[in-house]
Amino acid sequence: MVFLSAQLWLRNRITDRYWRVQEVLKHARHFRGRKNRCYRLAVRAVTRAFVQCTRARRLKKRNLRTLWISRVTAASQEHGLKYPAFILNLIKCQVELNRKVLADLAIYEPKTFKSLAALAKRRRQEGFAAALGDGKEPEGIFSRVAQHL
Amino acid sequence: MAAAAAAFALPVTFGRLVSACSRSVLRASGPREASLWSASRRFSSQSASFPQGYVPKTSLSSPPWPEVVVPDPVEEARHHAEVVEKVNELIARGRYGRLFAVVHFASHQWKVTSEDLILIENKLDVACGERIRLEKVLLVGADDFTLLGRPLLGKDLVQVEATVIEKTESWPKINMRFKKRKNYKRKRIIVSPQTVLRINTIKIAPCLC
Repeated sequence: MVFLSAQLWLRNRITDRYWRVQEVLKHARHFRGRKNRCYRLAVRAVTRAFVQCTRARRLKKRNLRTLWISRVTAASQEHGLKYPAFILNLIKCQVELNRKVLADLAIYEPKTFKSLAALAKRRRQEGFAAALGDGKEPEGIFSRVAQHL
Repeated sequence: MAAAAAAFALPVTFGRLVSACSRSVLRASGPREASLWSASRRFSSQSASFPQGYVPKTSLSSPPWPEVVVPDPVEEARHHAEVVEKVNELIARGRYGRLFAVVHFASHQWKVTSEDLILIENKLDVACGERIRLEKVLLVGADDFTLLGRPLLGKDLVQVEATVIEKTESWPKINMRFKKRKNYKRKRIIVSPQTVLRINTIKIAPCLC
């Protein structure tokens, strides 16, 4: 005798539905409204949150750089220089400080920032003298480029 | 050429102006009239004493940008030598308080003092508790002086020592991509290794030249 209808009563049932739901709800506990309790709403909110988190990690780098640039602009304006002139002349003097460190120096080490601004101003004037003087005068002191191997 | 022409045109116009002045003044008083005439004679006799290439100030006589004055190189060199000597003296006598340094490490620049903690987002092949020397120093400063490197300072000038305190992993960061209505959802958890360094000391040696 072959019992053919017995195996039709076998079904795959989930036993850990509670834990699967909690995995999602635990990320939604601090949300506002029903999306911190109801799974259906929480799934959508949590997905959006994760996607925005990934996007923000890429935007954070851009925003922080903009912030540093505006801080360095403000500090260099206090010393009578514009940001592009400041950065360009620092690079021409082979001082390779990045914007994060320049912003920190502007906040916490004002004397150092003042000396950097003075250096940039002097290099700028030497650049002007070299451009306008048509090579008759000797090279500027701060325009000398240190050669490294 | 323009300057020469202007110089030649000057005394003529001056003379004309002065004579117009004396005619318009209604010969009010004797001494004033005499002073006016003597003034005009003084001015007209000084026409030859204008310096060569003198251009009277107009809106186009000089370029619109401010004139660039670079200080005298000999005096500058003397001033620089003085400053270097003073800084050398301060360093030799140890007249500085807390030193700060800007260090390039693990593709980031850090502004660092002693007793600072630094979190680095990668693994270093160094055991915990070992001392490390951070070599790429861009800037060292104290309260009264700063030493700027172009771009780096020499290894014999500055020494920055650090210790590896702990080597952990970061918190699980979630990377999720989702497109609505397209049944596209990808989730990835990233746990990246981290190292914590404690900066022990920053030392400078007086060998500036």
